[in-house]
Amino acid sequence: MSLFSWEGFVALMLGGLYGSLFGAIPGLTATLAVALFIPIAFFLDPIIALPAIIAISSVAIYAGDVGSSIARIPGTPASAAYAEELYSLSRKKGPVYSLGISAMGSAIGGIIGTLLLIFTATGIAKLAKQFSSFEYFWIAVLGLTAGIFATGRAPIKGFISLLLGILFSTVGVDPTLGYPRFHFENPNLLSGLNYIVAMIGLFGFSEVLEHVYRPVKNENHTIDDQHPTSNAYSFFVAPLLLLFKEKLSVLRSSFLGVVIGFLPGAGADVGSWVATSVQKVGNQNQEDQEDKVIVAGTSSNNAAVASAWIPALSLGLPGDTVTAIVLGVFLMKGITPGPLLFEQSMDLVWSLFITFLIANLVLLPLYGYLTARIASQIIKVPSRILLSIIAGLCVVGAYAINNNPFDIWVMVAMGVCAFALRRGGFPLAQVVLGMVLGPILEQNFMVSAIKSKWSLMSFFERPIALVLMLLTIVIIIVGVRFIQSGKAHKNTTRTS
Amino acid sequence: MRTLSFFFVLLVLITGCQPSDSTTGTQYPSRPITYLVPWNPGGGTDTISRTLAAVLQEELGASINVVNRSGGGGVVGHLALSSARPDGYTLGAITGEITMMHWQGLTPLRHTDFTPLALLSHNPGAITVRADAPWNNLDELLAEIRSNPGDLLASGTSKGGIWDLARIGFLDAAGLPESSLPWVPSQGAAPALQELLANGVHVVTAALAETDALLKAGEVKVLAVMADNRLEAYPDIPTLKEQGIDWAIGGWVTIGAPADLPPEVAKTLTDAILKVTQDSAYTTPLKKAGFNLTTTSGDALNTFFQNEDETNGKLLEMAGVTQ
Amino acid sequence: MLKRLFIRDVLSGSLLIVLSLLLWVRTLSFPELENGYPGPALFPQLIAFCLGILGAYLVVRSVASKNTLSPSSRPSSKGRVLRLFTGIILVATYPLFVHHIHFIPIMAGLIFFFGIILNNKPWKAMLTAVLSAGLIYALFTQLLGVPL
Repeated sequence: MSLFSWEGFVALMLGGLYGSLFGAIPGLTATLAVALFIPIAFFLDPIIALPAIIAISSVAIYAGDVGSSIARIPGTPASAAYAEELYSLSRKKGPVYSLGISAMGSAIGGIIGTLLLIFTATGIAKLAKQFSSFEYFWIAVLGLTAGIFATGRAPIKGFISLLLGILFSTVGVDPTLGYPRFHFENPNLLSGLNYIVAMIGLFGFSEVLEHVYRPVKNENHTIDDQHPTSNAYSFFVAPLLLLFKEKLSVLRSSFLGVVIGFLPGAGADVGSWVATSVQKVGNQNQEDQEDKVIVAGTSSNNAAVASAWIPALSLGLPGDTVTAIVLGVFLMKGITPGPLLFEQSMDLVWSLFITFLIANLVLLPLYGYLTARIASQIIKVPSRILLSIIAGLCVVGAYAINNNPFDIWVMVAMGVCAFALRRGGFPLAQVVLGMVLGPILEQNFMVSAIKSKWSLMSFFERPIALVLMLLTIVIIIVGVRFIQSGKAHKNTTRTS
Repeated sequence: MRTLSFFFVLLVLITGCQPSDSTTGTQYPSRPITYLVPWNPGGGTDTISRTLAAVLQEELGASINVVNRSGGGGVVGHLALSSARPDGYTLGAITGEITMMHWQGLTPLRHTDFTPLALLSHNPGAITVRADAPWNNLDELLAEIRSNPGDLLASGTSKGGIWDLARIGFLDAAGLPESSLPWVPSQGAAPALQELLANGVHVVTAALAETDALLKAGEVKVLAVMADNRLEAYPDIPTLKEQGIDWAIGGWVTIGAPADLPPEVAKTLTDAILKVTQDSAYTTPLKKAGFNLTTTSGDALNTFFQNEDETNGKLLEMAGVTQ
Repeated sequence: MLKRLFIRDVLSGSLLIVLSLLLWVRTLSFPELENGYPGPALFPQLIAFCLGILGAYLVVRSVASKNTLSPSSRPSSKGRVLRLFTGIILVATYPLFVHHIHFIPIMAGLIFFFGIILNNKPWKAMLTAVLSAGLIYALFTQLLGVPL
């Protein structure tokens, strides 16, 4: 059986549809989609099952942007990096255009990522083999630094949000001794707060609360619907022109996505945050750069999707839940991942690469266009009706992650917390970044310290660690100069 | 409008508050069964559970919904199973952590809060080192540890986790103190193996099933397996016992139900499960995935739980993580 | 207007200082690693330290310069705060009922009440509630296979 069969085609199309539904609904994630697909995957030929999984995860990452564009509710931590820009652009120019940028950016980033994967997989695998806790620690530091400067000209409040996020991530069993911290004798808190649940509360439920507190009396749509009939133009052509104009940014962001992407568990998120903050800090004189920020973020996170497969394929070590499931499918079919895969099952490897290309070239534009059209209809529903449905979806989503009613309380608490943070003028996306990177930072710091018997100089001794540290310093220097230049010009018209 | 909304509330109350039917008197099973997995999708317990459920539902003639209830290092899922109604319509996976967590003060839950039905899989730990490490057998590794105690590092899971206990028991049986091969905590076997490859740690004590891919790829070598007898799938790897160290340990998965399951339901289930564990639809894919399958049930299973609980208590005491 | 903002930063800064002190006290009972190295308490203490410093900075900054910030919010009224609390309590009580009442009526009820406190007309809210609860149920359990 081959990929280019009737069954292969159907598997890809259904996988894409499934992925776009899961990505777009708050609380449903690519991981959950793939997990629910396992029982089916075990009974399918791997040459059909694996493409379907790739289709699901590629399209679901893009579809995470749909929520940002409709109601400022990002679906993934990666998409939180540019949720504010995406929402504001959707309000100005319509969701078809903004999601067009997102889908086309994802597609191009995904293709660049796949090409890099094809030609440098073994090289990147060698690099990945060099990564120990020191390197992972510096990647987490890099991502957090990027998060601070992505705040724009008020980094102090961004830093505070980030710290609160890291604080939330310390709830539960600690990584060194297994000592339970801040669990208040509740077993549900032992494994910590789930960041997807927190995201639903921080963005979704707090948006509902915001409108409950301050109801909109008159519905006013400020979307310039200049091209009401040529939706396909504003979805496909206009974004592609923009991407071509911003080709350097696309290349840079995709490259960042691939290089940082193999960080287990958080590669796509860190890649997206670093790329957007580089974009924001680098173009300090431009007033209207929402679309460019989206381009940077979206192309890097889909580039990272491909790269997350490198450690799994080349070393047999799963980076995240999706690749862990994929490895499970491999093993049950009697395929051994690792270097042998490239020697013994080249047909399978090639069908994986080709699926990545098809997912990005065909599925993303197709399902992207469909979801964008649906989004442009949903956005016409009066927001006070829409928000009552979103309140329901927040509850369902928080519950569905772990089938645990306790998570609904976590979601509510996060919503209330976000409501307070908004009152104080603190950004929300940084809280999520802190929650994602906090455990990686702490775990790898403590492990490194224990390994080196607390000689802290060892953090600066390994070459790759040094490179990552220098990159962090560069971001800090450029970022600080960016803030000072803003103060000098008294240019305080826009703060995000 | 007010009256309308009042009627709506009434409607909600009427339709919603119907008591859920408790099917009494009919043959078990007569409705769908929920199967709780206390760990994340994609992990070993999840894989075994989903494969078992797929075959078992054919055997029982009732559909089985596998639900992941992860969290709390396994506490949340185990708690959900133990507090479910013991009617046979809620089953679940019980893993080795149930004999460890109560010693660590994480939960009062113990194995006596469940009705164990069958031990599905028992995966022994192994002594794994890098392929280019200077030690070619266990004696050379032990000599190194003896002459430079505390220089080599081991990893595999969190502090006080099953593979940490495997290390402590191994050192103890070899007559070495716990501090001679210190533990580096990790978030699981995969990150520990990554550290091993990057030369961050020197020994990994996780199960053979987890190191299988790297072993076949020639990236690591396995010096010994912590089992009573050599494993069927790895006839070339010697056991610790053959090499004079009396020590065996492993991670395991049991299928079970809440305590006080009616004996006739337990019998129906055990019979069906034992039949499924002989079915090639169940065994073939799992064996390929490297799981060491077993079928222990009844009194032998109860003794097994009892022994595990005592041994792990002692090891956790040595690890210094008891409360 | 300026006064409100001044109060906003002073208030959030002070809250952060209080939070950092509470955190610090809480971490004092955490165990240490062997040989006295910092263990589970290290990161929470670092966070508490940074939050305290940054909170103090916020307070000092807004006391020093009272004229740098611009947006404002309208004064709050009792009705709004009441609606806010109703919304929070509605969702917070959901987990208590979830295993006792069927999903569709309880979800419809939740969406209906949110529709009301979001100033929708009751018939619109009810229509939305029934339709979307049914749709969510069908979508999740039937099409996507997510148990509710």
